[in-house]
Amino acid sequence: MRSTLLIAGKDLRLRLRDRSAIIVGVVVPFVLAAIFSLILGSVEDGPIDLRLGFVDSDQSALSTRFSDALAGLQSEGLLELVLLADAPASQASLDAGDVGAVIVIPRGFEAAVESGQSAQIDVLGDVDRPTSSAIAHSISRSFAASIEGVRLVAATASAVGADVAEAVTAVQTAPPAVVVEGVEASDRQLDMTTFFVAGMAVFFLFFTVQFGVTSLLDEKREGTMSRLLAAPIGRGSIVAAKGLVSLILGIVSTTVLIVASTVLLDANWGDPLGVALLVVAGVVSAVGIMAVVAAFARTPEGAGNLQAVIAVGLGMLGGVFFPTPLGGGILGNLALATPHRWFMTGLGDLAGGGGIGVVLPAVGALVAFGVVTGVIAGFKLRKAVLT
Amino acid sequence: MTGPVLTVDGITKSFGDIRAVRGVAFHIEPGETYGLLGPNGAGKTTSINIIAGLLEPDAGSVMVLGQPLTTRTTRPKKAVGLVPQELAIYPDLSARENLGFFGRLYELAGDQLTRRIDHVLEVVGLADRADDQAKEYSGGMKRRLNIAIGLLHEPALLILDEPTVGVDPQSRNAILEAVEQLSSVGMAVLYTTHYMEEAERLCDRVGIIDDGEIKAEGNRRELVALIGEKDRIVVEAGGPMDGVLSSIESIAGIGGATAADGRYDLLADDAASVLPAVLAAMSSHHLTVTSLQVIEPDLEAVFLHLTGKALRD
Repeated sequence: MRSTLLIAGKDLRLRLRDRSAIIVGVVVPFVLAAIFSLILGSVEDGPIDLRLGFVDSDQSALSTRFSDALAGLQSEGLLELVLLADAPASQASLDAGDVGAVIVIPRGFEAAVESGQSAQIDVLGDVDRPTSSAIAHSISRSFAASIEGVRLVAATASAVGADVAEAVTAVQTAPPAVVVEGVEASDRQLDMTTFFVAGMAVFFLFFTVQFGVTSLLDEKREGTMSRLLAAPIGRGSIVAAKGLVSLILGIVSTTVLIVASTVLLDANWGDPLGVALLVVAGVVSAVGIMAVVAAFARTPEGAGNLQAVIAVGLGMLGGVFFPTPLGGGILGNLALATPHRWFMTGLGDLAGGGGIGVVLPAVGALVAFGVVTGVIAGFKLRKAVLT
Repeated sequence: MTGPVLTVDGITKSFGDIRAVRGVAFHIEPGETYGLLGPNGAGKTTSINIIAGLLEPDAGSVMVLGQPLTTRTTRPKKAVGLVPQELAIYPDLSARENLGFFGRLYELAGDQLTRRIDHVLEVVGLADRADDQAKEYSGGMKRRLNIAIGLLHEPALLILDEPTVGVDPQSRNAILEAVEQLSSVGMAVLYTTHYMEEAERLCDRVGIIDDGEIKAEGNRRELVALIGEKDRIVVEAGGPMDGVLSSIESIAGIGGATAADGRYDLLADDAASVLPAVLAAMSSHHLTVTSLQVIEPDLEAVFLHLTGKALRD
């Protein structure tokens, strides 16, 4: 144990001295997460900036109903409604960027609807704001569809000799037959900032821990392995020291990232004990996988290249850059074969308000990754590096 | 201390079809410097790696201070200091930090560790650069640090594997002087080299190794005697040559003599023992000696005789 700590202490001193572990383990992931969060975080976190213009040239009961519906959406905070006088004012407003799109109800709209002629709603859009145009189109189509429904009821009532006005009123005041409820998934999802910090943390974790296990190959190349083997210490203590260095680097760098992102980026991680458990399990899995790669490499450079490929591949598959399906499908099932996926899933479960219990499946999977790969690496390294 | 510091008994090691070491056996007494002399690829480094506990032999054994030393034993390794052929230092650590780390591995600590570090830094001449990172050292300085690490824990047996390869003359001389000093204070030294002059200068006994086998072993005189080589005495003298040659040839221990133009070329079993009689004979014939040269057969000649190849092949 003493020799393990001595070798680990020496390695940590070397790593701190060249600063590479600090840069790869803390600085780069934090900066990238902060940048991603700044660029993409507003897409989800902030309200949609939709300013919709409305021109009522018909001034009819029907157009007023449309205007009222839009006012209702405004009161729900879904859009900002800007009432405009006419088409030229609409164009000026669009050109000035005051609104993203304008819905125009032309003169004679209600009359056309009631006489069974083709009525028209105009939507003016800004090519630079396609989302606003698409939403305006969608709202207009929805309103047109409701008019079509009413007209169908009126025609049916007339055909069967019923009271048309009564039938139309009944349709307009009846509750919707089908209600589509929007289910918020946020109870099991990380907010954008936390997602990016967690993604970058687990992604760069694999690069950080490689400093420990790959140094076995460095010792061999530098010739110092012969001195370690000639020293009065157990051979297992050399491998153990390298694993310990990887564990320490991984845990410290991830912890620093979590604390820094909490303080500086307002990241929300959930139950601290659950997070700690996930971090340790995630580091164990990363050390095991990187140790296997090091065990099968012949040189530190070869190991570094292979580890980079593995780390990037697992990271992309595991959804650290963009979310992948939670399950099912080829991508979803492949993602489950990566520690990254389990780490992110565990954090998502914690974000839903759960305690240690909710992360146990993820922790179990991560530890399994670490143990299986660690055992393989242990056997291989003892044969390949220590002889 | 009684008995040999190191006993190597018939160690054998193969790598696939290549038999790198074949039954190598020798021992080293306290205070003795033993040289393994052989060309590159002779099996020196493989032997050293087995003796230092880096490699497990296929057969044979290694005993240090009476205890078996293998790759798995730890206690006997405390008695061994290894100076590998390749530099084995951490370039990003200073000399003092390198020594501190390896000293602790050998269970040195506190004041004792500090004293030993200061001492070996003095021995190898690095005291004034002790706190510089090793990567800033010259090649010779790195070599000296490499040796200092092996000396740090005062091993009973110091193993030096080609310590002067690629070293400048100044550092090389410093290394050889340090080895001589260590031997004089009772440390057993196992020294491998393919430099004949180093073996002759440092080693009390030499094992000539080639093709993984020790071909012959002994001190220089014993090895030379083994192959029947004689000392050569070359004398230049002025004066009449009549009768001189027959007088010299009659001296016991002279194995042959020729003379031409005042130059006498003699072969002797032991130059030192016959030289007074040779000079007396010349003096009796009123010759004036102007130069005298004694050429003893060296290990290079022995090696050539035993292996049919030169040391630097």
